Amino acid sequence: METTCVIQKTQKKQKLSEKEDISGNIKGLGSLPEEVLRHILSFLPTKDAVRTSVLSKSLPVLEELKLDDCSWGDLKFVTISAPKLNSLSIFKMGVQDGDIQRSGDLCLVMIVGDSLKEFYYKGLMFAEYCLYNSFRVEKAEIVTKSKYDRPTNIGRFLWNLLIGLSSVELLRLSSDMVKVLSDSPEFLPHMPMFNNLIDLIIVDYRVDLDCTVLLKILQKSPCLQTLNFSEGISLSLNRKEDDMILDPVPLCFLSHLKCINIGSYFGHEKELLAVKILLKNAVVLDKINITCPASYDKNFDRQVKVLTQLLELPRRSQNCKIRALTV
Amino acid sequence: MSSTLCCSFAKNVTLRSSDGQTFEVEEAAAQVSQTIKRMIEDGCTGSVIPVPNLTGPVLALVIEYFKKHSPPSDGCPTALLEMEIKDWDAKFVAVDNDTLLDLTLAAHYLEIQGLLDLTCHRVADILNDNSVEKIREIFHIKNDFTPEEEAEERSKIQWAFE
Repeated sequence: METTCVIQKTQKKQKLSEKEDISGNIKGLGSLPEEVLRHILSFLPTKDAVRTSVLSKSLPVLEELKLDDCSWGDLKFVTISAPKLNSLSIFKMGVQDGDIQRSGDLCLVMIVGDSLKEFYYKGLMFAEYCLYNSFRVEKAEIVTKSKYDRPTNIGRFLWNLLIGLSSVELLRLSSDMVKVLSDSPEFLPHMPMFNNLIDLIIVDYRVDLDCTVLLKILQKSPCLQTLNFSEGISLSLNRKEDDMILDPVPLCFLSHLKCINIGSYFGHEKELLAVKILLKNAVVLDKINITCPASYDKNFDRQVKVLTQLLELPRRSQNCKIRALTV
Repeated sequence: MSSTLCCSFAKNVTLRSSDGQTFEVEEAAAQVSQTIKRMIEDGCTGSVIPVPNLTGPVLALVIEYFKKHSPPSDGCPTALLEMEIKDWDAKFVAVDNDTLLDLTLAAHYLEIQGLLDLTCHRVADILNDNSVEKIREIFHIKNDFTPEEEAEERSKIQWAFE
C-alpha cells in the first residue's frame, strides 16, 4: 500500500537558516564539528587542503598526509610543508614508471616537521627524504625492504632520517633498516640521544644483538622501558661467546628496562646466548616474554628442552619472570 | 481492510523539528538515517521522534532526500535509477551556501553517510574554486589573523598558492 508523506507547515520561501546562533555569532564553516570539517578536507587536493590554513586560525587544517605509492618522476626537489601536519605516512610498496629518473638522479624530498608527531615510512626508497624541525615526533616507523636495488647512498639517507627522529617515544625499525645503517658505520658517531624513547621495536626479521647500530641505539636510550624483537634475536656469525657485548651496560638496562619481548625463538645456540646476555645485564627487568614458533608443538621433547634451557638461565633481576609461549 | 490500514500506519514515523513542525515519513525511508534507524529499533515508532538539531525547513529537505534514497521495494536499483539519483543529488545540493552548511550538519547529526559525502564534496568543490578572500565571504569565516600573521602563514605554504 502506498503511503504518502505529510509535510506540514512547509514554507518554501522561508529562509532556511537563521544566520546567527544563540551567542550572536554568524554561523559559518567554522561552526561545523571538527570531524565534518576533516571530511570536507579529505575531498580536497593536498594543495587546496593546505591553503585552508590561511582562512582563519580556528579552522582545522591539513593534519594528516598519506603518500601511497607516490612517484616523484623527474622532479629534483620537493618540499612537504604544512604548518599543522601531525602525521605523515609514506608507503612505497611497488615500483612504478616514474620511480627511476632518466638522469639517474634522485629526488630530494624535504619534510618540514614543525608539528609532526607521527612519521611512518614503509617499503622501497627511490628518493631522499629529509626531516627538518622534527623535534616533536613521538611515534616513528621506518620499515625498509632489502630485496630491491637501492640508491648507492641509501645509508646516508637512512642515517639522516634516524637523526631527525631523536625525540621519539616509540620507534619501530625493520631489521633491514638496522642492517643498512650498520653498513655505513662512518655515521655511527652521529647517532643522536633518544632521551624520550620508551618502546623500541625491531620487525621483519631477526636481528643480531651485537650489531653495532642496535647496541648504539641502546646506549643512547637511557629511558627505554620495552624492547621488542618481534622476529627474534641472535648473534652475528662469528660470535661464539658473550665477549662483553653489552659493555658498558646501557643505562636503560640498569634503571628502566622492564620488559623484553622476543618472537620467533627457535632455541638455537646463538639465540639462547643472546637471551642469556640480555638477562645477565638487565637489572630491573620485570618480565621477558619469549614466543616459539608453532612447529615445535610436534616435537614435545625438543620443546621441553628449549623451555628448560630458558628457565635455567641466570637472571640479574631477581623479580624477573620468564614466560615462554608457543604460537 | 482494517489490517491493511494498521500495516500502513506501522510503516510511518513522525519526526518533529526543533521549531515544533511535524513530518510524517515512511519508516523505511527514514531509516536512511542511522540515528533514526536506531531510535526505531529502540521502539520509538509509537510516538513522535524529536529531531532537535534541525529546523523545519531543513528537516523538510532531509525528508526529500530520504524519499529519493529509500531502498526500492523491488530489489536492487538499476544502473539507470542510480544515474537518475546522481543527477537528483547534484541538483539537491545546488542550494545557497547557508543551506548547504545546514544540510551538512543535518547529515552529520542524523548519520546519513550518503548525504554527508554529498554535501562535504560540494563544500570542498566550493573551497577548491574560490580564493581565500572569497571563501571567507561565502562561508562567513572571520579572518582572525593580523596582516603580518597572515603574510607569515602564507609564506610558509607558498607552494600551495603557485
